[in-house]
Amino acid sequence: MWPRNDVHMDDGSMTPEDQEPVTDNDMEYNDNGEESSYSNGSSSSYNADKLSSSRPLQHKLDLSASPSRNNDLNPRVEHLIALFKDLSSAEQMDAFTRLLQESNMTNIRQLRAIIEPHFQRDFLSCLPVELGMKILHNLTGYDLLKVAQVSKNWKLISEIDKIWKSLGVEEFKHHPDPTDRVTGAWQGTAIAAGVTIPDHIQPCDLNVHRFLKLQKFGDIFERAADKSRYLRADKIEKNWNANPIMGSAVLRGHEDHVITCMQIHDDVLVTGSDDNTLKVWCIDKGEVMYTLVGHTGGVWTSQISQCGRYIVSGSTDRTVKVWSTVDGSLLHTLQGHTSTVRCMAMAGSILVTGSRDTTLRVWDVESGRHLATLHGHHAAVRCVQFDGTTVVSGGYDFTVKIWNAHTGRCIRTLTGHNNRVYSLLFESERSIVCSGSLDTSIRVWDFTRPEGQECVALLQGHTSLTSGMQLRGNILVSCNADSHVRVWDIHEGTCVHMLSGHRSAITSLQWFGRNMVATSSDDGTVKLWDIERGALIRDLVTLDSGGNGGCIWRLCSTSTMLACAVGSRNNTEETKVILLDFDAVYP
Amino acid sequence: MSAPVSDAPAAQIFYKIISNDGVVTKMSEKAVQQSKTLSNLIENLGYTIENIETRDPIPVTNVNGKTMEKVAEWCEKHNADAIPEDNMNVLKTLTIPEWDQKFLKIEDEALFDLILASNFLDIKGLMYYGCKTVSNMAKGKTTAELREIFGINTDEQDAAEGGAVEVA
Repeated sequence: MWPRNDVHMDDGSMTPEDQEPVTDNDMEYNDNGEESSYSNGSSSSYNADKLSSSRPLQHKLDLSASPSRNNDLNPRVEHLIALFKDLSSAEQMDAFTRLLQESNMTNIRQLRAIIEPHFQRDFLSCLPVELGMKILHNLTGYDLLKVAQVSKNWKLISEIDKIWKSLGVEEFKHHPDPTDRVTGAWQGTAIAAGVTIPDHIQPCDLNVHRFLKLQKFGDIFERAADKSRYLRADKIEKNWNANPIMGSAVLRGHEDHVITCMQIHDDVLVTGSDDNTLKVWCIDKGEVMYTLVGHTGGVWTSQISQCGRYIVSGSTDRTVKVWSTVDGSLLHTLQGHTSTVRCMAMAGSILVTGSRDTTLRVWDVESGRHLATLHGHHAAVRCVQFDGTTVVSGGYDFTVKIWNAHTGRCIRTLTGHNNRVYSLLFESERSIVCSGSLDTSIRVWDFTRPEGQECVALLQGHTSLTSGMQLRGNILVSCNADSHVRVWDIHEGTCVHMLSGHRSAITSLQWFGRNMVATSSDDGTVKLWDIERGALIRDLVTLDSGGNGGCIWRLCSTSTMLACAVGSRNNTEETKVILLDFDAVYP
Repeated sequence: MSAPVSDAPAAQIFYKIISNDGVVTKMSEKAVQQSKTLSNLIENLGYTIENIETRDPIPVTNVNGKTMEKVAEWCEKHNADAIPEDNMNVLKTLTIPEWDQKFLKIEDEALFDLILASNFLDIKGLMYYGCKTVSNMAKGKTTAELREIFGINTDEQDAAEGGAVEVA
């Protein structure tokens, strides 16, 4: 009360003394006018004057922006709002425009933050659930994980099982159930003097990991089942790409001998050796189940049947033996080849074997009967592929031959290589054959084309023999004794990537996941590559003896496990199989 | 002196639809067939070629006039389209035509009302395009970007619960 009174008194006291000067009079006039309009709302001419003048408005805004004044108690702001409400829509727009021109950027930015939400909509929370599901139905699994983190409402909608079930990518639904891999050889690790596994988990953390690993189903009942599958598949891929390696094992056997062949079927690992035996291992338990004894010469090739019931082996003793995986017993000895059995392929229970005796033979492994002999190669048969009807063979006579397995007749001879053929791929759906040769080239053939015109691509760039290849669609990955991995487009006949890093011949490769390829080498390393980016992901195994005889002979994998056969030809490295675990539980 | 000649081709008939805010929108006979709800209303309320001119507009109480005008525009454009199959998998392979992309490039508020209207009026084509448009707004975005795009302000508790990072 007093301060207001003081102001009033000042006004009163100043009036008679300053009446004559015009400037003083004007200032006094403004103050008086404001006071007057606040109290009684009269003097419309004064209002008009204020609106037309920018200076007083700016003054007001400055005051309203001041933190020292509460807007609700500021009569100037209240007055302005009252005036604003009386304006028409067009006049309000004009006022807005002019006010913005008088505002500083700080205030304008604050205004934007206030205005923008008016134009936005939280669709998922406000729409009916069935429409929200239609929106989420189009998203990838990765997007759905982000959606779940936005808010409680979004998380609830994104957990609906039907949404995850409908994801188009089926890859994540195909992993086998989570494994234990904590017993037998898994109790230790593969880390040892002379063996480096970069990124392996620290031993002190291993026990915690192994305990957690037994909680296979985690929170699976608290969320959509397919979301758990998706999360597990994502974790497995990260385990391969970047995460610490959470388990490893060493399988010892075949002491001081070469492991010549290795296959996996489900949980069974079979290794063949020039010690004349094969060993059958249970991967999950980390132990050997059987040692298959009977060959009188080194084992050079083996297969596991698609049904998993038979193991077949070929040897320098010229025989083919059929074994049971159930109890490791010998079921049949198939005789007829007159030299080393060097390669084989199976479809169902029909087996095709290739030999240094230049022939291929067709057998029924269930009955042990010999069905046909394929004559035509002029030198050792080195590689063979079979789809159940058509046999494709490559040999040291530089040719690739196409046969009918039932009639034993040679349908086609593919010529063009000028040195030994060492590796083959056959994709019967497209009648595509890929052959790798010591002449350094890889040829792609389509044997349904007219005779003499079968070669559809000549892939050049490697500088030695190609030891392994895999084909998906039009992308071919090859590994070579020249130490390089190459990625090709067989449709264009071009090399897409050359992957360097190994220092010695590459012995085998395995392509799994969408774009991951693992390779093993005579340089004592196993490397993991991204063939889409054409880059090394990381080293998986490194032998100190690499470069001094230590080498990795063979490599094979499942989607959650890698096995590599380790040894040397000069006793610098003991013979063993190293297993790496990349499995994950359901989160 | 000659007898009066009747019009051989019937004139195209338009249905009048009145929205909850009193706005009247016209839709052609072919256009209303895109909407199962409107088709059923017309049939059940007995609107015919003979009486369409004299009767009151068809009442649609769940949709406002501005949205109904957009709906009518879409239905006129697509009046010859087949009704999409009622199947979630349709959405995965759906591509939004260029005209519809422009048509749906509107403020969230209007798009929201349009999707709700297509649901109530059972216009499957428009519903699918609308939902697909919102999906495309969400594709490939981080959580923070999603909150910003859709104007979601989470309080600390909401963010903590919804935002718990699910470690795979």
